[in-house]
Amino acid sequence: VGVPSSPTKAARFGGEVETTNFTDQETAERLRRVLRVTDVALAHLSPEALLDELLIRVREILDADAAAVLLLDEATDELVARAAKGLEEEVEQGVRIPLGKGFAGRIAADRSPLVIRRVHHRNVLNPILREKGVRSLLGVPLLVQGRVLGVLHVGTLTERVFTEHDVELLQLVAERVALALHVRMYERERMMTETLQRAFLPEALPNVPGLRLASRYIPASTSAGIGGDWYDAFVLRSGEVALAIGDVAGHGLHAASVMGKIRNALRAYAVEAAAPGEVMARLDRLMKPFGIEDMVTLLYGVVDVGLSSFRFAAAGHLPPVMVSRDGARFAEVGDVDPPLGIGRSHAFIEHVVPLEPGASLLLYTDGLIERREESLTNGLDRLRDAVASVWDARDPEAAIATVLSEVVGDERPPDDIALVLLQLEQQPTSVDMRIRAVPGELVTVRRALRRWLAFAGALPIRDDVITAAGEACANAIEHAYGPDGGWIHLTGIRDDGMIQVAVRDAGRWRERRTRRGFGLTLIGRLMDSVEFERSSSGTSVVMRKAVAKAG
Amino acid sequence: MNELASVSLERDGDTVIAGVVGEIDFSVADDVARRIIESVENEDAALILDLTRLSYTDSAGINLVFDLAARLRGHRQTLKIVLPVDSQPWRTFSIVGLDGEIPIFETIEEAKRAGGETEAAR
Repeated sequence: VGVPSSPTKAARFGGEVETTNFTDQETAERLRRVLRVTDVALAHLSPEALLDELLIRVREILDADAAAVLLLDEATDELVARAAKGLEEEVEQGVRIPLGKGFAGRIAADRSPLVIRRVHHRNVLNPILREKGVRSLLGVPLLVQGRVLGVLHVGTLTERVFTEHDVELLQLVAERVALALHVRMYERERMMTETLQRAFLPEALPNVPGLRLASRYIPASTSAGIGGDWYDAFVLRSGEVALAIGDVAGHGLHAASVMGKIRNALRAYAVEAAAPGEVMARLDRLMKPFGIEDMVTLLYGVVDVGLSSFRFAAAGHLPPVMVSRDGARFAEVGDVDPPLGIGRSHAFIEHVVPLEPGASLLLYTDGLIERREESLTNGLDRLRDAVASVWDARDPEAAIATVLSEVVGDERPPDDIALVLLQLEQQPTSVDMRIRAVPGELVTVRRALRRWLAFAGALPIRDDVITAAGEACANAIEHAYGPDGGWIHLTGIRDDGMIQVAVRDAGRWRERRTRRGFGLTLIGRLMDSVEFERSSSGTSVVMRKAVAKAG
Repeated sequence: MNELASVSLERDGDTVIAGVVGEIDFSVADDVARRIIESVENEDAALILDLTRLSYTDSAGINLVFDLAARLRGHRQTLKIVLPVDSQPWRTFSIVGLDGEIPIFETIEEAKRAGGETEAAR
């Protein structure tokens, strides 16, 4: 590392700088100490600790009595004392120096070093410097990419002639400190944005019998790129599976908070009006009252209870891509509605894509395919090829990993990426599921049975079997386990015109106390035969009903 | 908000009409019952439980209806149910003989016109 060339010619400081002749060895030694300070000791400190540590070392290296850092408050164009050694009062009193005024103010305004050999009220604004008896001062700007972050200065209590070497050394330190501060401040915003962003993503994806979901959110490589992408997945009361993916233009905290508003509104509207076109229209009308002027693209749709189609509306969003036995293709959307908030008079167009057992559906944001120097068409082609290769992926997690490694590679993307992948299971010929013994799982059992019984050709007796199985599970939940809970194992098969459902638990049924025993009555009346088996290892209920006989 | 079942409430003179939309099972029955009970005031004469858009109920729903009826009877108030024949809830209720104890109607209009529990049960 060499001494950077600098504009610090003696002439610029009115003869207050002297040129001295350090030996090369002395210079090298001082540099070494500077580098040690800035590169190693400060690597993992918070901004506050970094400044404290830095000032101690700077004071030592330059043999000064005081050192201080003032940072620019961009809101007021004032320099605020943030850390000081030997001049602690500066910080305690929150000294603020207007840009362009006084010693530090001039350094920041001119973006160049300044040396004062003899302090007096005409050249120094800050009374603390005078009260403390500071005689000579040397200060340099903290610059990053031409932007002033603040000022670093040292002072001595006896008159001192700062040399060109001193100026260069302090500048070298300032350069590194500015960079470190910049990274830390920028990391902080990045962290806040990412935290907010993640808070709006679902903690867990819904567990829906017959399909499997996986998702990813990959923050952009730079903080300038983070924020605004999101996805959501939840089950509606109807049993439909709702999927959403969206992208707020712009980045940072603002984009993340806009995203949060839309995400919450979408959830609320989705519950009230399941039709995707209507949900989108309501969100669209919400943009103005919410004061959202950013461009927002969004795709929202629902998978029907039979898991046979995905019905969606898209506002300026890229189409989903489907993969089946026949390969991968984008959903044909024809004319796409414009992004939200553009203001339109017509309703959103709904599109329907059929889903078949074993097929997958991928929703994504444009960060997945946008590359510098590549057309959108090429990006989409690359995505389609990658998706085609996941047709026989073991599970959706593996499929997402494959798509990402083929489309994005190892590098972190310049823009955020959000992905949701839905994979339909092959047609169930039987049901075999374990659920936690809690009331909230009853609906999971009903949905699994609903789907399986349709495939099993047992529609005429579907309601009866579902009701009976639900009662058997409710009994196990209510009576088999103590407060610690347990598990229920449910199996269903179709055998020679008979549907057989077995519900097993590992607990011991306690006596019913308050509730009337309608559950067992229902099971007995709804099914053709019921067998109970109680043993030390648990209880099982095996129920059968002929498919042909409805009633 | 409950994910499985929602309760809508309206009033027609001294009759409360409570509509339950969705599914009732053991996980939501108590919550649904509480919301219905809260809507009935002392001076009300009748409660019509509109289950037209109830797509499923298990025995927790049966208990709910019997409990509700007993509670109202104690205040000399009547309970009427609106439920389409051949729906899953109708079949579930009729298996345990609920239709013999609490009057069930096909439409809200019929329920409004009809008398109370005692007459219909006769």
